[in-house]
Amino acid sequence: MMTIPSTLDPDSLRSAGMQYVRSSRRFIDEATPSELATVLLSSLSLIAAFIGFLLVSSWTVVPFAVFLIATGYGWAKHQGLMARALTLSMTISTLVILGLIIVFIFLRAWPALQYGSAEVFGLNVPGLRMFIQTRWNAAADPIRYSMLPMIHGTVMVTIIATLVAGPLGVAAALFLSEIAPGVVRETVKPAVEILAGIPSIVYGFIGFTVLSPWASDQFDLVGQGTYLFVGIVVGLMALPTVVSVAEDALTSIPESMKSGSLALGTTDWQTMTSITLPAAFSGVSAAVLLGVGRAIGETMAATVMLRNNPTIPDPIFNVFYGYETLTSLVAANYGEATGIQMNALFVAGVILFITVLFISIGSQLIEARMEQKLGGVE
Amino acid sequence: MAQATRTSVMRRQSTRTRLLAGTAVGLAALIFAGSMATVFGVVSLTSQVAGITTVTLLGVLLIGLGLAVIGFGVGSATGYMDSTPRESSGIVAGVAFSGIWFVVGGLIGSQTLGIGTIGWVVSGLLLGSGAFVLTVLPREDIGSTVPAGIFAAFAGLILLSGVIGPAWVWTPKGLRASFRGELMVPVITLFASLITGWAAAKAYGGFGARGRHMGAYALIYLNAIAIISVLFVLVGLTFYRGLPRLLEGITIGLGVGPGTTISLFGVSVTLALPIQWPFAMKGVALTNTLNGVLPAVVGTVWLVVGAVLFAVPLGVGAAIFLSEYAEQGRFTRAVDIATNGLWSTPSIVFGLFGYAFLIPRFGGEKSLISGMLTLGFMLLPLVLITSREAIIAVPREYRDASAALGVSKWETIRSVVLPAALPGVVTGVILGVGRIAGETAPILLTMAGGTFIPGSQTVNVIGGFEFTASPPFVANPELLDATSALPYQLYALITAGVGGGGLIEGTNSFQWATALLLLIVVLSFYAIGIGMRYYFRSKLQS
Amino acid sequence: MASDQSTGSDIVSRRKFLVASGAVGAAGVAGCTSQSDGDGTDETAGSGSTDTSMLNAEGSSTVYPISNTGSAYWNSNSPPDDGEYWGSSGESTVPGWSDLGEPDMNIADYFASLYGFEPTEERSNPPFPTSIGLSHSGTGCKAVRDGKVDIGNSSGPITAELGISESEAQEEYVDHVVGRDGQPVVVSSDVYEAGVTQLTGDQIRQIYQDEITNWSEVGGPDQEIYAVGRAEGSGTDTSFRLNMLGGADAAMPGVDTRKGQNQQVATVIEQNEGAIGYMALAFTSDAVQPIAIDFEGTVYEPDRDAENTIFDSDYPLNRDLHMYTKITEDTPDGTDMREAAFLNMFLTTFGQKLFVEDVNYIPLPTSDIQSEKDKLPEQTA
Repeated sequence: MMTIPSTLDPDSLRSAGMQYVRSSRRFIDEATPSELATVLLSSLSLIAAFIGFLLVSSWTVVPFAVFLIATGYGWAKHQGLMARALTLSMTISTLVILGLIIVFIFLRAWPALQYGSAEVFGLNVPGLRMFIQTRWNAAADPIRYSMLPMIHGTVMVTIIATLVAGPLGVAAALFLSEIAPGVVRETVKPAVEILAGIPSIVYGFIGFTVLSPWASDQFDLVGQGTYLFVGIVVGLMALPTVVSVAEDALTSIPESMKSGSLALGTTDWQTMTSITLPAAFSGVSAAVLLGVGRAIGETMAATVMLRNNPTIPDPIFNVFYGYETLTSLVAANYGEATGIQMNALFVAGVILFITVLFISIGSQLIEARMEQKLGGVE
Repeated sequence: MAQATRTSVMRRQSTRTRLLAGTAVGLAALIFAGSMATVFGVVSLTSQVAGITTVTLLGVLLIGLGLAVIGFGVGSATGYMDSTPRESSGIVAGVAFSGIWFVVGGLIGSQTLGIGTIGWVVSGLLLGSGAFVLTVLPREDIGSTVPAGIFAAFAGLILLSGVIGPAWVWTPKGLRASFRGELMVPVITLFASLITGWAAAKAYGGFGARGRHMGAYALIYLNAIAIISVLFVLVGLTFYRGLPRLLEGITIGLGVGPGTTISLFGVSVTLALPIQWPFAMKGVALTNTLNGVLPAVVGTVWLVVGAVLFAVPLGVGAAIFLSEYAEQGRFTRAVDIATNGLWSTPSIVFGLFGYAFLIPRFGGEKSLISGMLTLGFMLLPLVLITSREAIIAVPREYRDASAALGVSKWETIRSVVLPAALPGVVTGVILGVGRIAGETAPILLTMAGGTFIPGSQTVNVIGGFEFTASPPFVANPELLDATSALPYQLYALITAGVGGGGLIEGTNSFQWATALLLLIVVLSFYAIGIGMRYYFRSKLQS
Repeated sequence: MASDQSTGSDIVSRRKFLVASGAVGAAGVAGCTSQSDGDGTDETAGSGSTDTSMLNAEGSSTVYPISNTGSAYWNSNSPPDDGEYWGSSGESTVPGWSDLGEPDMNIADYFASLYGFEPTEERSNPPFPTSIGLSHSGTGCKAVRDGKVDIGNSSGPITAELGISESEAQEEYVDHVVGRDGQPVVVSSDVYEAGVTQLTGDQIRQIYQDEITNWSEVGGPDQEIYAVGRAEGSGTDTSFRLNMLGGADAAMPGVDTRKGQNQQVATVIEQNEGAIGYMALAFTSDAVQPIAIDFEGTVYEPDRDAENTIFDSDYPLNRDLHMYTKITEDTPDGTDMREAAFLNMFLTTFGQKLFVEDVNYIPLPTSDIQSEKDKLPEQTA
């Protein structure tokens, strides 16, 4: 049954709006003139400073100084109110920053989308040509910017990385939460969490220095750079994250459920597969989705290990020849790209942003549904 | 009493069969370790062990293992071995075995028999479906052991007869890659030892629920050991390769290092650090005997300082508002979504945003402050989420008690809630700093400049502040300079490769040393943060 | 109540401690960064009207060895009794020392004083510091056009890099040529040792346009050709397309990998088998060997003693190495004093030997050195 979600239902929006108006009216009535003036001055000057910053004006420092003075005065005199106003503006800033990111990335991507438009049934669809033909060439005629080779690369790397990080990560999380003896768990879990911090450029460096030459030698490849080994490295990178989060989800299952199952005479393994894992499904799937998101967004290892030549390998599933992912395209070309080529890099950024956003929303939805279904597990 | 069954109350498994099964598992583990050693070049395939080549040895062991596993299955089916098998091995095992046999069938079809594409697909499907039927239909004891055992014995036979040996090469058409014996032999033995080990572990547990438990445990233990050893090997490799160059020329003593002169009220005190560490205290210059990455280290320090100064007040402030002042409704949900969105954004997208938004507003070129702010944007959601958790974790009683005393809301927050939440906030900040200190992509587009920078060109932010006559009245040219940071330094070294204008001897060890320094810096942050988290969690629980 | 007070004072003292440690930390960091390894402090304020801000150069990886080596010598500001990098000591003398008249000044002091800068007489503290960025020619040219750097290093002509006309280039920029490169075509050692030491120009073109894909077709082993190119926008790439393939925007479908800098190309060729690439002379080595090329009957060899070599000016791939400066209102001759001082260093026997010839490039003949010097403003000292 499709109903408008309660958050967007027009009636409730209207009542929320009325409530807001009422509470602000109450605030204005109750506050002293000095309080009102201070808060108003500080908010307005902050907004002015922000607008000045947006417009690249060098006079931005004036409203900013006013803001500092007003806030300082308000802090001294009406600290509680000032604190509330200040923290409110800080909260709004989170929304503003996300909004700015979306706006600016899309703005910069737009010229490339316009350049790469195609006709469908007489309608000019911007950006369509970037997804229906596979040629990327920034110098020679005809100059074309296609996203397909990069999307193909990202998909290959992500699939291989998920195959590595998903099953192995969940199995290791099971090990840590259920099977390992106490001492082993106490030492290994912090170690895994710390090793989750190894920077990606270090992985890329080791892959570039040790793994790529070995692979090129071993498989008689022409040159260095394979999706297979980049996928393995990226999977290795995502592995500690998946292990940590999945392990947290598994340990949160109450002991009573497991004990109840064991009391019926099942083995530990049966308890794990039929009770613990299904109960922790939302957390474990969130962990795997997190790993997938990390694999998609991985830049430096891919940039350093791939061939940086946007092509689709032949045959299409050939994992032994790796060319370019969405992320490595940006990192490898930012220095020399200008004009439409730079905008095309922003298109790659837009694709990345949207994909990871969907995955994140998807995992939140799964969590919400599982909570609904299982009635919430503490 | 035609159908009298005797069910024993206690399951007796004869110690002999258990011993045999245990030995088989041990043997499988040995073969697994041996093939791993071969892959990493520790042992060569053609080297002799007591007169027989490694390949022959592996072949013999595999045949033995395969036959043993089949023996367990048959023994259990004929009642010789005590067991309680299920009706079927299950779909998962069926799929796994049929997959392996599909590959075998395809290879036989295409290579040995030389029939075309349709041919090998057909032969692959034949063997694959045969294996599936054999695994799923009979009872568990036959189904889990026989396909595995046959595969191991078959593989061993191939190795023994030399069909696939160290000199074997297979180049499938169109792939432009070839598979060599030196890698394929260990890979085959790896697979064979895995599935026979699993089957033998099941036999050890007498099949049934117990057997599957044993089999699963064997695989899971193996997986955990493999993951942890790989991660440690990575760190260990970096240490091994980078440590000599990193510590080269290090001297510890009184007054050896660079000095700071602190002048207070006309009294000057010169303090010299007791340590001189060329790699981290010098840049790249002609006159240096030992070159280092000082500008990158200082750049990373300033990046972290700037990002923290920007993100921590914003994040903590927003967390305070969301948990203390705001009602849980649309607004908080919107901020939640925004925070999650920010947190999951890839780092290169932050870099693109910094390039599009910050660089035009700070002088039009790459600058330190753009890098600081970009990393601040990355740090913000981390700080917000952890601070919020920390503030929510403060028990209600604290706030209630404070309210009962007539303390205002803000006063409560300031003097009760925040100090109590401080450990959690600090932990979150440290972990966040660890993450951003190692990020390259955001600073690549917004800040990074210079590959081999002399120490005299290290950015000097504090000394760079000056007042100007025209707006914006306060300027710091140092902040507007492109500079280097540790992760970027490593990337630049990778791309510069054999270059360097000959100023650095041994570029390879220089690269490893830089990687090691970066690793140490980032992992220290993580170690401190995680240590703090565990410490405070245990304090909370005690 | 007693415990409250103690907690109160605890909090206060904790705060004080944090503030104090923060202040000490900041002082330490400030001190650390301003007195790092005694390399000297940053640039001092200019005396009078001479600008002593940092001289920035950026661009081509081909010109980088010349530029960076010069910059390293400049920043070291070695004294005249050093012998190794400048001047003369009991054991050694730098080449071209007597041609310069054996000045009794540090290296940067001397060259800068010719254009009116005060010498600092301090080692590692030149009158103004220099910094060379590494990217490629297109970026360098764009940076100098937009005023982001003082000198743009380029291995391709600025007309091709920026897509402007000759006349516009003459009006806006001054082209300082500091050396020449005989752009070699290199192959990996396994191909070289298998006998492929010479190819015709046409064969190379066919390799890069995907018409020849296996070394066996040109007399080598049965190995697929791994063609390495340079990133679009690099001067080396532009020159190669111009001279080999017929036009600056000719297609190169046979390229498998594109690398941003010469250094990376050298690394790739060294690490892989069956590789071929084009780069710059400074990066050739035993593992990365240049081959001889037969252009319409004339065989240009990589050997300096041969009849026709890749070091000759009529080698079709021979190209000038440029350092472009921009003509602005402040600098109608196109070069301000700092740029002039720095560039002048390259146009001496000393500079040509140490910075151009020793990194394996081709030094300019004397007549060309003189015409380059004429492009610089008058020396004031």
